Amino acid sequence: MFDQQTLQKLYRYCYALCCNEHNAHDLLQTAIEKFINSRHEATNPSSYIKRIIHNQFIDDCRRQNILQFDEMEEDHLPADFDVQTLETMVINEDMVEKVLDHLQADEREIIYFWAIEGMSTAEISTQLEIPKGTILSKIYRMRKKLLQIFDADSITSVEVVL
Amino acid sequence: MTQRHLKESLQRHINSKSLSDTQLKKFLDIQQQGANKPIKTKPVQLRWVASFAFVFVVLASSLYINFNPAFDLEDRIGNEVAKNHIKLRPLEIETSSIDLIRQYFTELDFSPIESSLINQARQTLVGARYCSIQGITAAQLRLKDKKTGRVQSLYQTIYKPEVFKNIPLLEEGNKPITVFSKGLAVDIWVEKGLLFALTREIEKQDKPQN
Repeated sequence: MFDQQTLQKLYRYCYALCCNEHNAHDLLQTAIEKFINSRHEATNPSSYIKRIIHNQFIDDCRRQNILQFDEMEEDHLPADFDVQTLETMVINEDMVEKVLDHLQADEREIIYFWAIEGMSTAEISTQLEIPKGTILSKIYRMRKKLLQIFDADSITSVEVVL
Repeated sequence: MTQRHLKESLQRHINSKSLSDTQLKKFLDIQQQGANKPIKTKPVQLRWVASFAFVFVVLASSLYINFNPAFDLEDRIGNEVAKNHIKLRPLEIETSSIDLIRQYFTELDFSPIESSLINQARQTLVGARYCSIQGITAAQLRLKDKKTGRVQSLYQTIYKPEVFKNIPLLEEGNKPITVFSKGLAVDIWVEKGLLFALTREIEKQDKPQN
């Protein structure tokens, strides 16, 4: 059984995907029910239910024709690019929701594992079962997109501190 | 306004979201009820049969598509191009200048060009991104019809005769070959040493080619 603390963490993961508290609650409920019904002898139940949440979210998006997940492609990255590059970004705190709104669900998912669960690129890659290079590619595009969007809006809230 | 690191801001925002006591109790109850249910196990053999059947279907489909003459190279290119066009992935560079696009694509083995088949009076360039055709790195240019606002994708990659067999060469007086996929027409041709694939809407005069 998942205790209260784990349930709160899972709820936040759902929120990161849905960007909506009501949908996050529904997603978590569906995932818990599926987890119970699967009776899977998971060695890592927390990781297993996150897979269920991830897959359920994609199914829901497809059902509602919300195509928030791109197929991930590897990019041409600078040789020294790493997830740590995000650590240098600074933002006005009240712009967080706007940042999340501008990201796609798969990008929010990566950012959740990085910021909330404190995972490294390799750990995110293992969790999502996606090559490390693809994760880095996503982060690279995400960072570029954020800097472009906020510049375009003449908002200097996101900047790189060198 | 308070400036914080992105990571810290995200932590504060996401961690501020939490389930209410009522919601928590509901989820704990659901788990408790689930724990009391008897375990139903599927027969292991059935799972194996289903897995083998699935693998067989996937392999058979792959072989059929790759070796059946009905699925020619142009069909595969058309399918790939139409599929990618429909997704309309974000552009990496937004510009109407082919010069800026050329400058952007530093990782290609060729320089993107303007095709003679593109009506520049009617279509305008809106941007581009990296992509691939049949595993070969390519440039995906996005065009917009000035009148209708409809968007088209123009793929360009280096022409490799050993890979792209039987694709018509414009310089030899041939016309592009058109394939239909996912409700779109895709014109494919070779021009100035590059392979082009252009998506467009199917028109009345379009007839499937044999």
